[in-house]
Amino acid sequence: MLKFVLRRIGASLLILLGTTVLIYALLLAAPGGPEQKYANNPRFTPQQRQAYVKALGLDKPIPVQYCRWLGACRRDADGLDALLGTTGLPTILPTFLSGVDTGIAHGDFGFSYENGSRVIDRLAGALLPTFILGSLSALIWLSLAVVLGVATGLKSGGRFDNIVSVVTYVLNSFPTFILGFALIWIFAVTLHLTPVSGMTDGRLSPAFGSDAYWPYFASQAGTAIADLARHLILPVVTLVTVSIAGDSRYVRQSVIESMGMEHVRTARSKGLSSLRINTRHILRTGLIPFATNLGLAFPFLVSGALVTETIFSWPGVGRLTVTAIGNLDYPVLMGILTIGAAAVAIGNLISDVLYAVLDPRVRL
Amino acid sequence: MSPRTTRTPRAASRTAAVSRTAAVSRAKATGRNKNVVEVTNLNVSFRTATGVIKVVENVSFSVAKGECLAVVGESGSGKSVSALATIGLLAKNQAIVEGSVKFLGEELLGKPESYMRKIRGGGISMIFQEPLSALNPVTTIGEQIAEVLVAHDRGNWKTANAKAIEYLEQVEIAQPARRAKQYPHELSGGMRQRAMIAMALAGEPELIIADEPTTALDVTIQAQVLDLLRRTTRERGTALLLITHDLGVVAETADRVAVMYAGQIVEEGPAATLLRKPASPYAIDLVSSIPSYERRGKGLSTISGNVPSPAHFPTGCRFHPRCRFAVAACAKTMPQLESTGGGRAVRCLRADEIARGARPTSTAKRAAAGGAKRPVKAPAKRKAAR
Repeated sequence: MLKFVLRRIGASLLILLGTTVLIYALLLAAPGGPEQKYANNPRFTPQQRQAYVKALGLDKPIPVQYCRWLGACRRDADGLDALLGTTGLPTILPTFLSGVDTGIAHGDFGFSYENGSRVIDRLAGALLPTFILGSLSALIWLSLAVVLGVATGLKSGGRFDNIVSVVTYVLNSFPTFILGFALIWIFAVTLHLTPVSGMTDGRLSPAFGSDAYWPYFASQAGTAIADLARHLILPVVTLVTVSIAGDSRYVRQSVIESMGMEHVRTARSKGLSSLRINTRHILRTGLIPFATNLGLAFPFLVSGALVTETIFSWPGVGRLTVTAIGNLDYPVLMGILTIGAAAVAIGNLISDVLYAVLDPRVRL
Repeated sequence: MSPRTTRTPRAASRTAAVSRTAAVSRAKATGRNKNVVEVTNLNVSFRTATGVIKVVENVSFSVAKGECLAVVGESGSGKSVSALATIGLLAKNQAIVEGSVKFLGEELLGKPESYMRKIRGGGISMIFQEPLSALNPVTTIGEQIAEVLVAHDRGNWKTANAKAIEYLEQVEIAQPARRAKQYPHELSGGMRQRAMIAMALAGEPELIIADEPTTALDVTIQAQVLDLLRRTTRERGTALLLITHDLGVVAETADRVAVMYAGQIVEEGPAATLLRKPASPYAIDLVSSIPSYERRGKGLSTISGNVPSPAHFPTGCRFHPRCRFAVAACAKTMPQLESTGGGRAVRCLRADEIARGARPTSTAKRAAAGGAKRPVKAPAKRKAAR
């Protein structure tokens, strides 16, 4: 098992490297660039434009830009010299060997084009809100999906099954942005039951994640949590609603499949109670595939929900992504996408390990 | 036992007398009803998209304590369905089961699920064909045996787990304590089927239904498993209903045989006499299709055509399109299962003529009777079969 995990981590690093090459190329191949947002500004002269592009290093060939982003090339040198650090050792090596501290290999995600802040800080600020929203929603929709899927699968074709099928299909068919705005209109605007958007109430709390927030949180924990909870309701409902249908159908299907297996007939022939047949024989085998879905839900906790976060002005990774795309903020986008890709690799690893733990036939 | 023994005739008759009294006292001990299970006029139909289709028709059989009845037939003859109906495992919303299934004198059909749960595993156990898929892949062998004991109130989990090891020992599995902790995929095919047998024995049932128990096994393992099954059931006086398509298995194991074709029993009788001198055309062809040393070099005998689908059973005798003895009447009249003495019964219009040595009908006549048009080189084969 340990050998498998180590091998997988090694393979994941290679895959990650390939992925970053691909997304870097795709990003830069997209038309326009960060300077485009000044294109209609009459006071932005061509000279200034050139200086801006040069300052960001965008005038270099794309492979060089990527090499710099990765940390395999120095920013203050050109050509092959850039591959060697100030100490004369290859740039890609850790800072204490190469003397270079730029690029992702040295833990440096760069600076945002938008406001010059460090990418790592922007990401760190967005990850917690996304994790709060994502983990709560995933917890609710995954457990609901298991409950609904098992209940409908064990009695497939029954009335409850039919009702659940119709309801989940209808809810699943709502586009997120329509559902989100509909919920805001009904519960926030019309009924005044929930806040419209955001993560905290500006009248009584500092902005979430700001310097003043945590002292406030420490002094008035109860109020702060209640405030967060009120702001969580609508986005969580939105995410649960649009996600539950797929997973509950998946569970239902694997329960039905498991019920038809021969070992379940054997269990019946042994005169076991239906509780034991259902839990030990049907669900114990039928839910193994779903357990691996849990691992695959992991990336969601990191990369967030683009549409939902944007609608509800949730200061998470999803909204940061949308903003960064609007600005063609390459360093921020590369940071988000790299972390997202790493999360996918980790999620897959979790799935595989989970499978091996749950199914004795699988040996890693 | 062969009639010629080295013992003196007197000694031989003495042992015979002793074993007879033993048998009698055993019968007395078991009480009034020697049949463990009595199935009478069992009819099973399935609800399908195209309507209700009858797959088992008027099947009757019984198995006595310690006896082994083999139900023989091709795939699709309804033998497995009859077995599943006996233990009540057919889905109620798909299958319609009519007739009577009496277990120790008690009618099982129509009994509530709670009652059947007590019978299953505790009174009637079942052994399935493919042990790898019939065993739960993610539960240890020991637990799968122990849960039978727990379900039938024969101990708590602690004692049941210890007992499970004893049962594994009884089915001659080496290192039973280690095997009990293993999963089915970690055992060999033969060992898996032995574990299945241990599972079936764990409820100390009166009847074990074994549905093709050796089909998925290597030939060398088949004999061992079969021998184990027969020995353990005989020792305990457990009735054994053996479902198989393998006549070799029948010859080795069964006391009595019922041959099924297209949902009906077409012939039944003691295994020894039925296999030596089958009376119905189907059983004759089945028996002659067993490869044997006497017919070496002559090619295997087969029965042309396929088992008809239950949706399209032929009129009259269901075997007549494939029958070498068919005449015009066979296409019109459904023969009844009639007793012919010696515990035997045959379903064939021409049973008497065939018993007296009737030859297969000519191809032309059979064509007229609606049978197979293809010429069959039957006579030569039959000569070899005799």
